[in-house]
Amino acid sequence: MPARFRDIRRALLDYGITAEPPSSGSHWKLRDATGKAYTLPCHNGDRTEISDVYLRALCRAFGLDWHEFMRKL
Amino acid sequence: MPNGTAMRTLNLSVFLTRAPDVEGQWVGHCLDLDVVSQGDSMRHAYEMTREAVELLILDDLNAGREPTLRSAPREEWEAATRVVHSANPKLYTLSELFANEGHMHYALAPLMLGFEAVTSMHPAALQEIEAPLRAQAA
Repeated sequence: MPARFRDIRRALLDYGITAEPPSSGSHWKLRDATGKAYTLPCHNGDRTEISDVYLRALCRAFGLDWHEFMRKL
Repeated sequence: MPNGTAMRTLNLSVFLTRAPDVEGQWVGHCLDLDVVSQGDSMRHAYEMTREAVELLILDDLNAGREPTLRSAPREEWEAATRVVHSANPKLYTLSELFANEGHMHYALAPLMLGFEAVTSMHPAALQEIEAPLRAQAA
């Protein structure tokens, strides 16, 4: 099930993962408490619909449980 | 190249597929670094993935982390390999690839990035490290 950019940002806050807007380009930079970073595409603004393929990689990058994360969306 | 800097090149690949769950979107997956992005076309997904990869590599290098230590899990590599081997592969240049995206469902595209890394090492010590690597590459 794909998710909207704004819902992903909101769900990530529960894990203490913050999102920094792009200074240029179309990716927000996500960062967890350890300093680990990942990117979040926002090429179609706040309503960008993002594929499961990305969401699975996002969970792997931050070591999040996929099912738990999907319940937060 | 000025003293105290080293050029580093990364040869990566991007697996491009139509998003299975979002109409009209393409997904780009750099399996080497497990970085995923997406775009409104195959070309756009490729450009987006390149941008995401560049951001993360620079973030790693600036934080003193080795960017190549992350990679997609084995099942992702196997899935991509299965798809690529499931039909007769055709070779295209990148521009040909993007021009033909209308009838394509997936593609594997090269992504080569170069970074200039600043080091506090003495140039002579740097050359000593680089010499066997150059010989290996030659």
